[in-house]
Order: sequence, then C-alpha cells, then structure tokens
Amino acid sequence: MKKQILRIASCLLISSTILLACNKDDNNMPVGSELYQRLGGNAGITKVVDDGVAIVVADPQLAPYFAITIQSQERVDALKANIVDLLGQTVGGPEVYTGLSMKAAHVGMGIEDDDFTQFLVDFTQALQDNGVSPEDQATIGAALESFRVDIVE
Amino acid sequence: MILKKTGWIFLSILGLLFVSFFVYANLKPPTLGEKLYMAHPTQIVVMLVPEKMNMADSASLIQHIKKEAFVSSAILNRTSHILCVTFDPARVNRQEMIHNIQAFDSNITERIITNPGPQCPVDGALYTIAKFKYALNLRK
Repeated sequence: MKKQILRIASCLLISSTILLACNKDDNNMPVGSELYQRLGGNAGITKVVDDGVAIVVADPQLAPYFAITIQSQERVDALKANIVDLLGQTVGGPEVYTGLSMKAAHVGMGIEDDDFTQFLVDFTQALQDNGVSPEDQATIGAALESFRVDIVE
Repeated sequence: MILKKTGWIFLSILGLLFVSFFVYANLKPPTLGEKLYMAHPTQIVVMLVPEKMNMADSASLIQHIKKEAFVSSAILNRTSHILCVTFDPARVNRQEMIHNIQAFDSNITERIITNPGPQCPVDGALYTIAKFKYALNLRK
C-alpha cells in the first residue's frame, strides 16, 4: 500500500515536471511596442520604478501611505514588482499585471484627487530623470491618468 | 502500529500537498516583475537630513551615496528633508547602509514614522509564499 502511494506520487511529480517544464510559451515573448523599447524595456522600466517609488516615499504628501510598507523588504519588492508589471503592460510590453484591480487594491484608503495628482507628478519626475522624452512622458501620464477613476475615492 | 499508519497517512498528505503546490507553482511562468525582484531584491532606507543642509551639500550627499555600486537610487526631497535610498541587500545590510549615509553627516537620522495613515495594500506574508512558489517554478 505504502509502495503504491509512493509510486503514484513519484509518477505525478515526474509527469507534471516534464509536462510543465517543456511548455514552449517561454520562448514566445513578444518584443513590445516602440514606446516600450524607447523606455529601455524591462530594465528601463525597472529603473523608472525604483526611482519613482523613492520619490514617492520621500514626498511629504504621499509618504504616510507607504510608512509601514517600506519597513518590509518583501512588501517593497511586491509593490515594485506589481508596478513594473502594470507599467510594462500599460506601455505595450510583454509584462502581465496579475495583482488586484486598481479599485480593489485602493478601496478604503481615502486617496484624494490631490494625492493622485501628486503621485503622477512624482512618477513623471522619475521618467524625466531617466531621460524619457516629454512626448513619451505625456503618453505614459495619460495612460496612468486613466486609473484615477478607480483609485481616487 | 497505529502510530506508524498515522505517520504514513500524514506523510502522504504532506506529499500530496507538495505535489499540488508544485503543479500550481508551474501553471504559469512568473511575471517579469516577479522574476526581477525575486532574483534581485531591493531594500529602502528612509532618512531625515538636517533642515539647514544647503543645495551644494545636498548634491554632495547624493553623490556620496550614489558612488556605491550597491545603490540603485538616491532621492532627496528638499521640502520634506526626506532622503530615500534604494540598495541591494545582498551586497550591504541595512545598518551598513545607514552608517554609510551618516559617514557624510552624522546629523542625518533614520526617519521615525509618527502618522502612518492607510497603507499601500501589498502583503508581505503573501509575497513570502510567492517566493516559495517562484523557487518551485521551472518555467522562470
């Protein structure tokens, strides 16, 4: 009986390993839009997000929203991973955002219009500091602006 | 005899749970954001600089911090006097980073939060589970 269970478990593990590891979708990553390429792809977006989060955390108006988050490495990395995926997806990259919807993620936080506007100002600063052209800053700003209706209460 | 049987049942359940979690971990490849920060975690320190620090000293401070290869970002907000430094925790720990900053000016202190407000809803515990899931993911 025990040997039977062990055999079944081993077969399950081996077959799932083979089936999943051999999946070909990993080789079919789309290259991404021109805007995504101009931003420097995933590496460029990551630099923008690192700077953007730092600017937001240093912003006296927005710092209270992140006061506890920044004390935990896991929470900071989870936040950045989500923003990288969201921004990458927004600008036509291969990133896929799998976090909560903007509405679900921000419900109950009492975020005001001014706070969201300041967030956009801070992120635009990060784009500028990383050499993103004014035209591309405006395009990305407009895309992020579309989240206002879900985030502001 | 009963103990042995219980032990086997318990091990079988654990094994089944592990196999199920392994399959779940491999259903989708990790997102690019996850791959990035799982492979290269970052950490932040937030400090307060003296209000009297002038523009020249502020620029020198940022230069002092950014010259280290383990620092990926250093931002000083001159209105709030908040300094935010992002660094690689694999190359320097938090205390060493703080000492590195204070080597420029010992009056720079760690910022103590007095009014946290509603928090950005990322869950540290869930991210820890995500790290375990990432470790088991063969599609990364």
